[in-house]
Amino acid sequence: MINFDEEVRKFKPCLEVSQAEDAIYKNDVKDITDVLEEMLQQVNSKKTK
Amino acid sequence: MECLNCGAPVLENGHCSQCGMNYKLLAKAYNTSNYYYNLGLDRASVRDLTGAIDALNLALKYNKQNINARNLLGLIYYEMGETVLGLTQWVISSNYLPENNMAEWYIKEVQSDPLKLEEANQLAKQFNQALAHAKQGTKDLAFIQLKRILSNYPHFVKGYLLLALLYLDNGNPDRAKKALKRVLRIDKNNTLAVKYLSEMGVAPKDIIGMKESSHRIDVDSAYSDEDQYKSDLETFVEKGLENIDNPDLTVGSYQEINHSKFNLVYVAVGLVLGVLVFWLLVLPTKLNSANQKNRQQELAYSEEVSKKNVTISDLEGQVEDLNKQIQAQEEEKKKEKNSQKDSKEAFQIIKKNIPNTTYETLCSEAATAISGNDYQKAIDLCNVALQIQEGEEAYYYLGKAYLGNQDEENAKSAFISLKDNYPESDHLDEIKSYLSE
Repeated sequence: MINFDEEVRKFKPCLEVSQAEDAIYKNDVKDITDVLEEMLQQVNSKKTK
Repeated sequence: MECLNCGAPVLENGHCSQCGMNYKLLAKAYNTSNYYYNLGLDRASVRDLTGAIDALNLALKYNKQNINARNLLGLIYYEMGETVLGLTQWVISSNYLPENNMAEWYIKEVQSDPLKLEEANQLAKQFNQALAHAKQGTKDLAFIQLKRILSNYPHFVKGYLLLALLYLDNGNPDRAKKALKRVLRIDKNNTLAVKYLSEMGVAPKDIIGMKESSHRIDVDSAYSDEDQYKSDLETFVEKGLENIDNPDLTVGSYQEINHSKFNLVYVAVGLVLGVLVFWLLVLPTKLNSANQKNRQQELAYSEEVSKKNVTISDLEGQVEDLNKQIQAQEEEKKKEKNSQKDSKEAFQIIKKNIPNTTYETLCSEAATAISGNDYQKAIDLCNVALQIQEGEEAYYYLGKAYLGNQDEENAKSAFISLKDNYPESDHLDEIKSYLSE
């Protein structure tokens, strides 16, 4: 059976225009390239140590 | 070969000479990203928007600079009524590739009409309000708000889903089902809609049927079907999902109504209604406001009265204190007077009991002081002697001392008092010459 309160809680508010700038700046999703770069940096830092 | 990440030449070992990335790994990731983009595109083309969003998000996880995937994702969000989310994706896309990018055109298209942008903002605000109402339990307001939203934005999936949920909670599964059907028309595989339908006990066959009907109406059909869809939607919003699919339009016989003969009735009914409205709506509110004002005034007055009572009681207390102080001062004065009397009496008693020798010694000391030309001492001694006891010697020496001190007036008064008090004194002959002067 559908529980109204539980289901309503799952709904997220829509983004307003004033919040768009924040959303753009916070949209920092890592892709494979970022992960590989991080790994390379870690390997290089270990080598220098 | 050039590196896919930075564009620098790739070394023979397969790594970039600049950034050190493995070319094969990057190529694989970019290929996978493109694969998911294609999947998303396929899903979007059959109106499986939720599926397309999932696939495109995956494509961006493999390559966040996949411009096509990002643009399509924005477009899908825009289609589902989430304009701001769509704009966000397009802005990021145009940031990665500023030239020859469709996202630029999309952004310009939205921004060229400020009214559109404002409408999108209003949509978001109104939906958020409706959601807040639904969460707070004021479902009627949520209904009103959602109906208003959906009449203006027929593609707003989130709105339909919330409306369906409200209908379900309200005990209207049929209306909820129709709202969910709308969702499936826009987004064929919307997981929430499918979930609600299956929870409502709709058979999987029927759900698949709904999906297929949505496919037929929205994608393959011509404009006439789209028009039908829009008119359906308006009726749906206005009549609350009642008679859309099974219209029951029974038309009676036509008869022209003569409106003129009802004019007086209309006026009378209007007047009665006006009076009733005044009586039932305006008057009670006015009375209520007047009563409230009166109550407030009463409260204010009673507060003032109580404050003044307090001040009066304070002042009475002060008056009592002052009276007590006055009484205490009077008693103190009486006591002082009594003590003065007592001291005078005591002085008199002492004076009486002092032996005459003291007077005599004082007089003899005054005589010796005069003979030693210490007239001031002689005057003091004589005055003390006169305080103790009046006597001719004291007056005589006082007069002489004044004379010695060249204070003839006082000397004369001393001799006069000697003459008056002691007319038979032996010193009168001596002082006659002074008195005659």
